[in-house]
Amino acid sequence: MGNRLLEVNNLKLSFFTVSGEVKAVDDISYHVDEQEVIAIVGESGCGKSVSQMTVMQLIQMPPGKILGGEVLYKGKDLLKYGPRSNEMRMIRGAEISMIFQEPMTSLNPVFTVGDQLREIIMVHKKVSKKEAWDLGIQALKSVEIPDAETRMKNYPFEMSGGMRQRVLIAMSVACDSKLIIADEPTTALDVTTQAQVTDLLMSLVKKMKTSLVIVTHNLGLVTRYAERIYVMYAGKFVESGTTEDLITNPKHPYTAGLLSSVPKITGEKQEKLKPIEGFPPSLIDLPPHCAFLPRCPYATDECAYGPYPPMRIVGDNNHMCACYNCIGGQ
Amino acid sequence: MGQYILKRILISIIVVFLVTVFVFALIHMLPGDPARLYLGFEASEADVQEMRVKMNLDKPWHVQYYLWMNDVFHGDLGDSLLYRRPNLDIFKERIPRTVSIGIPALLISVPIALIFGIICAIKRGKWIDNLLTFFITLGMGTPVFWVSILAIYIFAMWLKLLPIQGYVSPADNFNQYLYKATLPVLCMATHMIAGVARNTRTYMLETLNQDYIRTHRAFGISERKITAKYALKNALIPVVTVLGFQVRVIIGGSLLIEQVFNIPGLGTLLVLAVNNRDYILIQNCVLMIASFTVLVSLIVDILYGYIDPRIRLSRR
Ligand SMILES: Nc1ncnc2c1ncn2[C@@H]1O[C@H](COP(=O)(O)OP(=O)(O)OP(=O)(O)O)[C@@H](O)[C@H]1O
Ligand SMILES: [Mg+2]
Repeated sequence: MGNRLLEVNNLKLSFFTVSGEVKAVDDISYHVDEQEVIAIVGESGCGKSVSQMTVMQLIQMPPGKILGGEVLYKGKDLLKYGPRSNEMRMIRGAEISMIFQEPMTSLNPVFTVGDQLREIIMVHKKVSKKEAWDLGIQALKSVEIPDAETRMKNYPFEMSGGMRQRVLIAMSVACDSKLIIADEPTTALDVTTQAQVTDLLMSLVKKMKTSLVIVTHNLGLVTRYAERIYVMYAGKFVESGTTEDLITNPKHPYTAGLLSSVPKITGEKQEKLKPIEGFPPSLIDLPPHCAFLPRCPYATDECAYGPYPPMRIVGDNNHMCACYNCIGGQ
Repeated sequence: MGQYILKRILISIIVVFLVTVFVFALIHMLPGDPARLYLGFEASEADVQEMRVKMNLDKPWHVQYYLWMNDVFHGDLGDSLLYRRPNLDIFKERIPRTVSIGIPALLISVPIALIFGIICAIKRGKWIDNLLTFFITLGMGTPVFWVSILAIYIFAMWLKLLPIQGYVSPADNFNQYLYKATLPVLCMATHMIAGVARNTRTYMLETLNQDYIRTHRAFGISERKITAKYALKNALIPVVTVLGFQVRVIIGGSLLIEQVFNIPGLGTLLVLAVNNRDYILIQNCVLMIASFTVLVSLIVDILYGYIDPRIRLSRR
């Protein structure tokens, strides 16, 4: 694999709200290498989007507050720059791009797609208006939008959800970002469009030698694409490893639960799907012990009295897990 | 867009119609006999009766209404009972005076209000937002006549900078106009700033919280450009309707301000007409004001449709 592109160490972010401190991102560490595709997987509300927006420094502060950690991009700590700094601004869109969960509302309704695309290109490249427009057309073509020239003059409301998500992808590739963060890029779309958009994103990433972080709650979806997976639960990572290791040999009961709730394509007879029982906890006033404890079929006394189990190496290839009773021993 | 405009025009016509019916009914419920008032208390009962017939007051209401509308459609706004001359002439004389106070007030208040609103939204929660919001709230809660009286007290009676009251047309003597109109214009402007500023602040805050603003940020667009271009256009669309509303505020405000500053405009005219039961003047004056207000709303609605591509481009 290539060089380390992004390295996040012990990142912590909380929202300070009237009802208390929401520990949305609680001490997470991960990394992405050049041309690598990784996935961050977890149930709704576990902090996936917030963690990625923290990396981009797009969280409103207040109520959000970064409580620690570092975000090393090509060795430089982005957090040192501050959210409103010019340095951070030049990284957004040109080095790291983010595609959001909500294609329907993520484009400005009163400007044409071309206006919005051109603006981004002109922020990051020294080109004339005309050249920027042409680059915009090229970007739309690269995401396989037919009639790119006329589409440039369209307003977002004249496009379908899938088309808008393609526009957002075009925005992230228009300035040759090295890293694309795709936050559930397809959840809002219908199933056929989902597959098309995902395939498009993957082929673009391969072609442009870009690294990709896919954020999703659907473990089944990413096993086809991601090289490594991080499993997130209640603001923390609970397991990480290569996709291969993680699906054949899940160590954390939560990962195992996620896997058994995914329909398997192979296998002679259709296995019964077992959703994980119970609900994820509120991120306010989390207990000192493992947050998964109330839903965990493997829980022991140690889990209830011990502190939160730290991430530790449990297998080859840096397979890590935060659990006292990892499945299969250790 | 075509159908959108057509619909607005239709609604406007209906509104004006309803206003005329309403005013007509209201006036005819007022106590006092216009014929008697017209002729004076010494006039004989026979003369009054004759006058009633001449004024069509003996006919049923719907006939009276029809006769009024018939006149209006023939360009005849009737004669004032009070002034004993054509209403149209009176209007021609008075409208420029009200406009000469209202338009400068509008021109002063709108940019200030927009800037206040935007500053508040960008600096939300900071001291400057709190300060401006305090004044805006104060402005919204303070009646315009009270502001006017306070202004007269401070600037005219105490500092002796400006006259207490009076009016000179800018066409007659521009310097005198400036001298006399400054206080009423400023009072009117103060009265108008609060509403627009508060709405701008609200819309701007709402816009800055939208997902697409996050997208602009996520792609490195500068904060300045986001507020001044991408957010502002979204926020201004609803503000345009508020501007239309300001025309109504001017008319309402002129009723009071013209009284306080003794300006012989439409506001004073309407008050005089009501006090003297000059029903022909009242109903035509209200008709004129209503038509004008509705016309402004119509223009604003069309403008709104034009700024918002979602309406402009909808084929139906
Ligand atoms: N501005 C905010 N103020 C307070 N709490 C917030 C704020 N934004 C997010 N949160 C909380 O942070 C937690 C994590 O939210 P996040 O959007 O990251 O979840 P997610 O994992 O992306 O879920 P989903 O799959 O639904 O997108 C949630 O509990 C949410 O309520
Ligand atoms: Mg999310």
